[in-house]
Amino acid sequence: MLLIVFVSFTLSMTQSIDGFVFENEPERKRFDRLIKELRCPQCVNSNLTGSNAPIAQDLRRTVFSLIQDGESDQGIRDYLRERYGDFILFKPRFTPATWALWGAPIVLLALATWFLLGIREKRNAITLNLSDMQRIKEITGGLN
Amino acid sequence: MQQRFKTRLLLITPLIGFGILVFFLGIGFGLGKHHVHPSAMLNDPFPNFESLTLLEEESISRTDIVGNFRLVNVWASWCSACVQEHELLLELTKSGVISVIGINYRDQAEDAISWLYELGNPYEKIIVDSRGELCVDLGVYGAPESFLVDPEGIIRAKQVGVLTRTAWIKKFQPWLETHKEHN
Repeated sequence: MLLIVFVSFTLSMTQSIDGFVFENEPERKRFDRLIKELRCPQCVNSNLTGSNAPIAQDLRRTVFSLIQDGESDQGIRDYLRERYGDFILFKPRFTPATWALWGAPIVLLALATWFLLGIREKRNAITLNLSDMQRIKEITGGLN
Repeated sequence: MQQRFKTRLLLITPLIGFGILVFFLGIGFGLGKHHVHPSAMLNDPFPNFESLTLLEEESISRTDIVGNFRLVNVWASWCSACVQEHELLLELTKSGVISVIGINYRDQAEDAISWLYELGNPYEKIIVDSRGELCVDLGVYGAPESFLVDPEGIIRAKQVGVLTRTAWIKKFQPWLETHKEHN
């Protein structure tokens, strides 16, 4: 009997760091995902998961209570961004200030493609030249 | 001729790429501590809160701090940098320039009170925020941090870190002066 109670208890409640108790597994997963993608404002390149700074603890608790309040993922991101700025998001939004950041990979890919095509073109040019030489040799009967 | 130009362009492409990389890394490293976004929360209303005051242990909420210009200062007894701005805060209070409201951030009441006994108390009222809830709502990075709240309860200026005399004169004082001119 005690075992059944214990098992059902562990099945229905899942715990996370800081001793937060979640009602179900998806909620705990949401929490874990959100604190992974939010940056600790006071640390250098650490997310909320990996920091023990007081502010990171406070923000984890904030994320937890917002989840409990039924806030959506985007709602939670917006709540923190309004207070801590874009810096808190590891995945930046697409704004006039960040277009270069988002556009850079596309531009770099285009540049790299152009560069590689250029090299290939040059190689083709050389091959053509060699075959031209061959033809010249054939025509001139190897005199050249 | 055009072919030669193309070849040259191809040869210097990696160099250009490297140049771009250096440029962005330069900006990145140059950012230093400026990753703190000082503009967040500016012109936003001061958040609602319900708490107790540190010394009187009376309830305090947002309505108790609006109606007048306030300097809201986040501090803690464990915060070593807070000592550096303490003199300026005492001076502002004593000269009657502005009323200073403290937010005692993640602190023990006994430690906070003995800290005030030792260094003097510049605060008209101190909001206890032992779990940092109000501070998260304010977008506080850590202590010390200061906010200028206008009579309507709107945040007009903000200083992340020690409130220096220069920061006070440049960012905070002009608001008080323009307000005086209008009245």
